Amino acid sequence: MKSLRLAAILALISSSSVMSAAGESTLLSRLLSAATGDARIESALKQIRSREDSSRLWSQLGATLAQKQRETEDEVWYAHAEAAFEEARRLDPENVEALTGLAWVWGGRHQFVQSVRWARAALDLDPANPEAHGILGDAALEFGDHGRALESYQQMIESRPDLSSYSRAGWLLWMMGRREQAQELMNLAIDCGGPHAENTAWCRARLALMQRDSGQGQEALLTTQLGLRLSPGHRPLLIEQAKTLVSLHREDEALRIYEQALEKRQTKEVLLAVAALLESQQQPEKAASLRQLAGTLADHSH
Amino acid sequence: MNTRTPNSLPFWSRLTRSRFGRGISLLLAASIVSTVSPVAASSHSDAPLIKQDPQVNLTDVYTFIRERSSGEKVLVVEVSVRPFSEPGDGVIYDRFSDTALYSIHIADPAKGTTLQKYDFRFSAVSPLSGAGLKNANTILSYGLGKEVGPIQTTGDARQNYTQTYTVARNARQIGRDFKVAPPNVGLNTTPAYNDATTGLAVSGATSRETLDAYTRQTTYDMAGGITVFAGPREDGFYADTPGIFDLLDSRILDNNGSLADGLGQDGNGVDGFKGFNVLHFGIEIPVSQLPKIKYTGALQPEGEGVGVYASVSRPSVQLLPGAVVFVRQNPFVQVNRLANPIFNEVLVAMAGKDLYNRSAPTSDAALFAKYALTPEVAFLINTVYGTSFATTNRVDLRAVYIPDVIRVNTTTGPVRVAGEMGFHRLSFIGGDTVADGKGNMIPSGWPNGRRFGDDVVDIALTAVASGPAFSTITVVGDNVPANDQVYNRTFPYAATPHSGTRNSKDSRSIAK
Repeated sequence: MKSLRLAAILALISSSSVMSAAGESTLLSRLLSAATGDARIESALKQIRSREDSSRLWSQLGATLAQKQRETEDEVWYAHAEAAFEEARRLDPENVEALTGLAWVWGGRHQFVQSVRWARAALDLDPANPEAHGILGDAALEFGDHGRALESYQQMIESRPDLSSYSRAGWLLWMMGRREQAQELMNLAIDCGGPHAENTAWCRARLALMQRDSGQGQEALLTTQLGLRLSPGHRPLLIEQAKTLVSLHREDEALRIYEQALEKRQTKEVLLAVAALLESQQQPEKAASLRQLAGTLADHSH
Repeated sequence: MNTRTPNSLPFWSRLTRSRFGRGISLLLAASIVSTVSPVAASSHSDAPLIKQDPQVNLTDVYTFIRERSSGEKVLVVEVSVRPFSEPGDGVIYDRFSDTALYSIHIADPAKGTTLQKYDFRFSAVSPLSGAGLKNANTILSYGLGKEVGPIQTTGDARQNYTQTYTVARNARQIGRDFKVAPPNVGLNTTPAYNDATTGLAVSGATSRETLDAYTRQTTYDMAGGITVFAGPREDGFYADTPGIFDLLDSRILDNNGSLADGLGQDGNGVDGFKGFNVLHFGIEIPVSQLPKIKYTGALQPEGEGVGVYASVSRPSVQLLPGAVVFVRQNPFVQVNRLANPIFNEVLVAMAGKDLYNRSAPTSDAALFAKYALTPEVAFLINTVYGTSFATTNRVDLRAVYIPDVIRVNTTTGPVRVAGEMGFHRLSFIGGDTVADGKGNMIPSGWPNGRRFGDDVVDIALTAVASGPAFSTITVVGDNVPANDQVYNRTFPYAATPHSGTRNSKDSRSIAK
């Protein structure tokens, strides 16, 4: 039974047809092929092969798969992570990491009722759990309940001040219009750093947005340049850099950066942004083609 | 005639010819090229959710009694943080976090209560802040400041970035503007660390005068007798952790086909920390300035001394509307804690690790004694190898770990350190003992303090196998009997950091 479960997850990870949406099989299979060479996932799987009854190892695999989702921005990894976290929970219903992992998965899918349910289950076992408070705050923010988000993020910071909690609080304050404090918190998050380069890259992308929107175009450009030096090809940073270049009236450079972002992943938002830029450059036919492409893609809220 | 191939078409044209084109009606979209207001931006927070925090991840605490050349007895405490620091990081070498408070606690050895606290706070690390930088127009942090070339003196014109720190005792500043030692970039940039022929780091200094220039320059003697150091060092811990955590792979007990020569005593094991550096901070405190508290240490008669542990904290912030948020005015929240080796890493279950990091040793008896009394590692060894080590009522382990402070008898003379005659990696198990103030022979190393070179994995596994009665000592180890670098025999005792250019992870020929 346990081996079948592991085999099923392995099959999911290596399959190019399961969980794929129509029309995306080439993109999905390309990502999955790249992922099978992921040393972190292979190492986590190797550990589980020797001890399939370890709830801890399953939740650690889930965390590794979750990070893969962040780095690839491919939602298929939510399913893989969910399967690992569910197995961890099956083996130990009180595995708090598994519960917060499931909360994160459902939050990533924008199914916040489910996300909140799992986060609260984690808090029942560990009332000070920072991840669970963070996820509750994320759900509150999504629903526009800034007060509740403030409370949750405050508890998260008081449990463990780090990149996760500072960056969340920073983004919340930004949404509330507290711009200077938001930037200060996001800088604090960056200074803390995280175990993966993607962690600080994400924060730098958000900081660049804040700086640009505050009229600090040059600072935003520097932020993206440093971020890309440390995390080459990070798509959100590329997008923020392109937007910043547009704000600085360096449209040709912006187009080249947008191109790099689109080479990695085509999203509706970026296609529309490029279309608008092309229109401003008197290239309506190309813009129209991109808008047509954008229309074939699903909305992404982030 | 259009001779352009598909691959030479403009990107946008190639994109429209991809499989994504489907003929769905055009969408009219508002321009989203302009800057986006907070209200229109994505509200969902997809911020990272990390569990590890490298710059505050404590790895080891070392503490032992030594003697200065003047004859003054001192307590040495050295702390490693930021595991698996890559020597050849390249862009921004590992630095202490400027938002964190790195602390050494001198505590009651029986209760865990902090009696003295030494806080290290470091200067800004952001390259965009300009702080600590001489030249912002280069990608090099070292080797190109106002001049180009090898660094001669810590913080000189060739060292572009210099981090500094302050030290406080019991919240009162006692020293400031100390420089952090530079990383060992390599022979061309930081030659004083390295052998001129091989380019490998040189270590094993026996006195302050024989330390390399950078380490000597960044070892500061403060008025009042306290000495401090901070900077990258070689990771002094050695163990086959890959084998241990791979369900006690059999290679940790035997790698030569015979168990008759002992369990895990073959040597030639795999050191999972070989070639890596850490960030490191340390202090020498005159014993005369320490409290003297009676306690009974593991496998020792009643003695007198202190307990030692380390912690790292970060500032809390207030998010309530109208509150001024930051940073240095706000209370700190402990995010990491460490004392005895093996405890939090191996014995405390996953469910307890976060709580351990947030709590103080005074809570250990209530919260964590169970992990010492019923060690999971004993159960695992029995399961994997068919042994019958005691898995319950391990009062011997409880005596070591609860509260989790490293107990140091301060009535002894200076203990032997690695490289000195009579030093044994297995401490008392190998006959390496020292007389306390009453003439009792007690361990020179762990669990009486912890020295660089103490084979804490073997000592711990031997204790698991032999306790709680210790009527027979069964030595058990992991076949890794030594560190991959020679320690110093003077403060700072941690070895010279590995070179970024040439280190023990480099498989190429070492000839320059």
